[in-house]
Amino acid sequence: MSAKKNDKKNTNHLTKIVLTGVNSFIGSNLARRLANDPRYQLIVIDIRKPDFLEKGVKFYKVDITEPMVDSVIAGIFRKEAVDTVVHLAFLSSPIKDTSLSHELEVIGTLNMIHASSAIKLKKFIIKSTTMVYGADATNPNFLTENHPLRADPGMAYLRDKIEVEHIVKRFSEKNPNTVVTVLRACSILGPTIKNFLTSYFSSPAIIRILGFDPLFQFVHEEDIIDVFRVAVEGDYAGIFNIVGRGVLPFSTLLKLSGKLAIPVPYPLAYSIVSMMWSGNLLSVPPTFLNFLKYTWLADGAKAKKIMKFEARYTTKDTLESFMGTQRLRELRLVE
Amino acid sequence: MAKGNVTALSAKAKSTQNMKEFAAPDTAIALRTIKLSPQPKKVNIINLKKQKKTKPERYAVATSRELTALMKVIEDKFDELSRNYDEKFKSLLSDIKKEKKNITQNFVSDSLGGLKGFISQFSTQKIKEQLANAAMWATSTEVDEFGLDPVFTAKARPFFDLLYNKWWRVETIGINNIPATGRALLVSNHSGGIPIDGAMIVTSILNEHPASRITRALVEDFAYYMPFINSFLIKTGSVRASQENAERLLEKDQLVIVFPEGLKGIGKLFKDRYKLQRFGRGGYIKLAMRTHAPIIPVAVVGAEEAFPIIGRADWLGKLVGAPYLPITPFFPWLGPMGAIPLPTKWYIKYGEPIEMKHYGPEDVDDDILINRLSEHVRTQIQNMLIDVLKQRKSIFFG
Repeated sequence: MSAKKNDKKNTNHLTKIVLTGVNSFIGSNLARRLANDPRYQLIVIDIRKPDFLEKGVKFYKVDITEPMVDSVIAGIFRKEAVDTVVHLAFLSSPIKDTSLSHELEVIGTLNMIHASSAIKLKKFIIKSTTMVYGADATNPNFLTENHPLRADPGMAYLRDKIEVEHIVKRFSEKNPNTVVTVLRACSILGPTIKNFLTSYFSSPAIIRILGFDPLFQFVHEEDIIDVFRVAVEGDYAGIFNIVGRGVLPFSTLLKLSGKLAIPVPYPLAYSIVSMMWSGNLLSVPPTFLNFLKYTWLADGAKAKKIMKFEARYTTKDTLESFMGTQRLRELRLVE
Repeated sequence: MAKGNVTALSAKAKSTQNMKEFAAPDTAIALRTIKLSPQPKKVNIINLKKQKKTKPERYAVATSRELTALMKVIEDKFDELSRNYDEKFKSLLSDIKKEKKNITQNFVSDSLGGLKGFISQFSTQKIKEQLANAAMWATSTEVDEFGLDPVFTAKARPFFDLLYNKWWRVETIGINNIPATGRALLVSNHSGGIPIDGAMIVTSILNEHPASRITRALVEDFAYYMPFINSFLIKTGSVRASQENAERLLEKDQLVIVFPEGLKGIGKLFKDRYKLQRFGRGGYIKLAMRTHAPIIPVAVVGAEEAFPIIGRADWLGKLVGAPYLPITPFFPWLGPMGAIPLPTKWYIKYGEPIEMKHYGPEDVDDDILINRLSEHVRTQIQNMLIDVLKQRKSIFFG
């Protein structure tokens, strides 16, 4: 009750934020933080109401992949006089059903963009990944935001992500008054997040490509939540690579993780992974093996310079914080 | 009297004789029965009577006094001996018993403890620790942004020092042309089938230069992404040849080596040795212009004879992922042995730096200027090569 009264009092100063993908890791953590912040009014759009939402948060049950849903979303935007959209309804791991993932990632984003174009939106923040650059032999050691997105179009997961980037780029060109922030995060790891990387590192034996040892970087889950907050609070138009501090060779990371690493020649690894992928034993398709072969580091200098964001955790710390929890999980001391 | 004495003596003598028999171990109990029981005397008297009948004259010789004295001495001796032996055997027996107990106890505890220690060596935790330690051999947990591993490099350095000092006996000329601080772009001729000349330039600056600077070599793609070589190159500080990478390194005031001859240089035939190939498209000049890094021409002499390529098999190279397979008088005929470079005498000459400070970003688009500058650097290196070659008398002994 008191929250509602406060809302009415401070309506003029409140920034109204629409959040999608609130059941994802970043979405849920960002929602918790923003809900406790008196400066913001949080409006959640999702197909499932998360149980942790507090009283002041408004919830609209909308499936953003449905046809003609863009007008419904635009209606919500107008009704709530929305300032900022944080679009996080994306998959954190590839799935078998590529048509479903295409609907969610590309069509969902398209609907959000259509609705955002219909009103004078102040800010549009979207999450992407540095995997869109692709692992290629001709990559420079550090990929900047201007580098072309060359991920193998054979990977449905990344093809969708690249298409989303193109949609958002067109939107930002058409709407110069809207601050469009694209946060390309490198591999996220941490004690609580779950994605295909955490399942890769929690398997008892890990496949690596024989004779190849690319450099890797991880960003800690806390850093990634922080950077979304920074993007919500300030106006930073453009694309930003979000990376952790420092890099390490993949072999060193495997040694630090204490996992049994099996070096496998690339062709053999490809057939093993494709068999495991079709047998539902692995969460990544075989095309992802290129990411274990070539270096695909992203350069976080732009985020540091413009957003003043610098990760607190190094790549090594991030892996160790994840592995520490993982060991407790294996002993069934934490969930 | 005499008779009785003799009997006693004989009995004692007999028992001393018996004593000798008893002296063998494990008879302590038997000895005690003889000493303590009065019974044997009676038995001996009967024996004596028999002896007296057979040998009477033997005892008649000794006088009674002498016999008494002798008997007393013997008796004392016997008593002493038997007492000593008894005590000794008693203590020995108890010792043996104790020892036996100890041994069994110790054996059990030792073997249990040993087993425990043995098993503890194989406990999962210990094994994990040991494996982790073994795995982290020559691996640093911190590398620089291009992957240079200081621990691995320190382990690999003696091998390169050996090649540098003993195999090729490298001599450096003009090392002071390398600045002690700040960026510089080293431009060198390239040769040798296996791009080992870059490693020798790096070693020479590490060993000979007063500042002992680390130089980053830019490596062609085909070598950079060769299985195993890839990992080794990254850890020892090599970087994939690309404008972005080189710019980033020079912006951080590092020394960078480029080989503008590239693949054409490595695959140079023996008949073309020390004839510089085309210097790419002048990318390195643009790089130096953008970063204002001085260009230092480097001439490596000796490397071009170390791996005399007489032919190139393109289709064989494709099989192993290389652009070609070099054919020398020894390779691939002698197998891996043929790939060992010849121990020629090497010279590395560093020329005077060519300043690039007065060029600005607008000059990067001036293709004619870039071509001219590139040709200038190429001529400089060619002249340096000719200078060193003129002074050299022998390929193998300098």
